[in-house]
Amino acid sequence: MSDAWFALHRETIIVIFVMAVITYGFRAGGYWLMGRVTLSSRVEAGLAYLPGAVITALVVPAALEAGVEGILGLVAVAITMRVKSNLLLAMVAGVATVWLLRNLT
Amino acid sequence: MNVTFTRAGVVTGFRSTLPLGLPVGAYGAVFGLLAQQAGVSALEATLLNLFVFAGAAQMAVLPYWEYPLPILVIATTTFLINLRLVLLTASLRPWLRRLPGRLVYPLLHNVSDESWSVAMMRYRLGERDAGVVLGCNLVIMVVWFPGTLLGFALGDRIPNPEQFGLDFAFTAVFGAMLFAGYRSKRDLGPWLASALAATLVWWLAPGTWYVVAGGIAGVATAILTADSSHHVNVPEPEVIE
Repeated sequence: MSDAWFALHRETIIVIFVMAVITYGFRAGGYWLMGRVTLSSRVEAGLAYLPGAVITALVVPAALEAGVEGILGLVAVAITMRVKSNLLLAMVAGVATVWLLRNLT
Repeated sequence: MNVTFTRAGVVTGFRSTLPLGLPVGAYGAVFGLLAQQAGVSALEATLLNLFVFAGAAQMAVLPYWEYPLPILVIATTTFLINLRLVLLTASLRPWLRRLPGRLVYPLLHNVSDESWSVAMMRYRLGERDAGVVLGCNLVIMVVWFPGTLLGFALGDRIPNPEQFGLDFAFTAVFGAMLFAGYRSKRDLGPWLASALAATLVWWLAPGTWYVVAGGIAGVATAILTADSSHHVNVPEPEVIE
């Protein structure tokens, strides 16, 4: 019991350190890099589209992976957001749609 | 643009991210269960949570958790899965740049896909209080940490989130954020470009290169199709609960 909870291998410490450096490197690096480059106003205006583009890139393959249920789940999310701009409701509608379709078919 | 960092902002961010509490907690429990089965101790899992704080990468390395640990494989997996984080924090720069680095750099450590997407959409709707970023991050932290320990303690007794469609919760939230952020037809070109590039790269490449590809394709499309006479409209603030 206590071993499963409190064991700490020296190797694990090294591996966690390496993972932490890589991960924080990306988190700090993206922010830092944006401060090092001088951008034309055209590029800067384009970068305003970065969050939307990244979120699109997170959504589309994930929905495709979830199949027809996933795509219909997104439709339910879209309808809910149109009727009432509420994140919790939209999430529940999407999850419920996927859950129902999975259990019906 | 006035950027502040207030307690009210932290509360706002916390409240807007609360709906994500349940699915993030459920996935924390799954990580705890898988970590326990892989022979990672609760202490080691907690250290991963504290110092790495990247659920997808933490889960992805568990199958390789055999001593001696294959450090190169684990490092490569971490690299490929966490690559996308570069774009998340890069896009936070315009919002946070006026704040001192000693405040921003610790804050960046806990940026996740979920908290970032909620925070960014608030920014798009006119939010400028940087406390919101911290508030969004805090929700993920306060459910993920205990969630992993619960999963570790309960083991196989935890239910599978997929059974309740909870695996779709993140996709639903990202989708909802996208719809909330839609402003005009000008959004469609970059978003479509991103969707196509991301899908293609998702088929072809490992890790999260697809997120990077989508982000770059979207921005490139926005730059290439920019109308030089076009003035960026400052969006009206809108309430999302």
